[in-house]
Amino acid sequence: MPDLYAMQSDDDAEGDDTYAVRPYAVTGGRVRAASVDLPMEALVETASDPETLRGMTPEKKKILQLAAGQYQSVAELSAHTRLPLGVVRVLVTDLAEENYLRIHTGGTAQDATTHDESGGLSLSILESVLDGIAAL
Amino acid sequence: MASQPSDAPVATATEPSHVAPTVVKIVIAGGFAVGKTTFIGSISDIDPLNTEAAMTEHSVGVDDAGGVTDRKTTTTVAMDFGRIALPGSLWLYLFGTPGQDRFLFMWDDLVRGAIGAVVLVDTERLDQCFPAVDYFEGRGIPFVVCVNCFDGVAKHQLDDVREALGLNPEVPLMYTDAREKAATKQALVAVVQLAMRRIKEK
Repeated sequence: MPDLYAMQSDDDAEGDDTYAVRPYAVTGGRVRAASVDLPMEALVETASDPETLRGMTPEKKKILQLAAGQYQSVAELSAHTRLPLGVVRVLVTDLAEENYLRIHTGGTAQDATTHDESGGLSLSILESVLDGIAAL
Repeated sequence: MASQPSDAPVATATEPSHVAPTVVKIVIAGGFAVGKTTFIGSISDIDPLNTEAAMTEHSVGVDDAGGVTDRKTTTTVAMDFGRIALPGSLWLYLFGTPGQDRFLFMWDDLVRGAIGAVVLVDTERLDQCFPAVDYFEGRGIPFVVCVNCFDGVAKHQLDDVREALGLNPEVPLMYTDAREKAATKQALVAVVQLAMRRIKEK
């Protein structure tokens, strides 16, 4: 996987992340769509080739670059792009619908396999979390 | 949902062969400057990150021309969070709540699916944690209360704090030092144990 950031000479990872437009302009003014149920901790990974990024908005491009070859949560994407959470939710949902990236809600709290019948987190997941924290 | 890209623009050379980690989260609440970010940073694998949620607030007013306007103003609410990778492909996220009470409505989004919460308390400003305690109590979300000992000094007895907060005897209450990983660990362990007890009691 090439370092996509390195391909952007005018844009470093931490620096000048301001956008010239109002935040929700990049979503076409949409505030919520199917994205409303997307947990902020849902993991996202890019499923497309850098070649296909041509002609894409800088915000979407950046999300795809950040999630290329590694899992990123919606919250992390928001932090790294400095776009509000709601904007990232809409963009991520769009990108997933366009098959540019995959959303892994499986394994988050919304997923049945990590849950008991009443919708709470399953005991086995909590046991693993407990052991994991205790061993830190 | 992450459907397989059947007509994806390009075949995916980047597709990882492994399964995505299972994600869990714990919410870190408390008043402004009580040490939430320090607490998260004491144990997070990554430096605490900051995300913003833009809030659009409607306000009706009179514009310069004398006409009534339905104005929208955008406020941003900042949240800090961290991440810890645990064995067994588990990622634990710690989300700090926005400090101000007036953003309590945002917490619904934050706590959805959370294991539980840690409420950090500064005994000098006890009232600041009331909204958090009320919120978690009211929604039946497992929470523990941690008195942050600034400079490592405990200024109040836990029994007094419990009484002042009107805490139910089953709510774990402990001292913590938000700078200390060991203390943070203890607090997180207490939340998970409480969440497990709740499930077992059902």
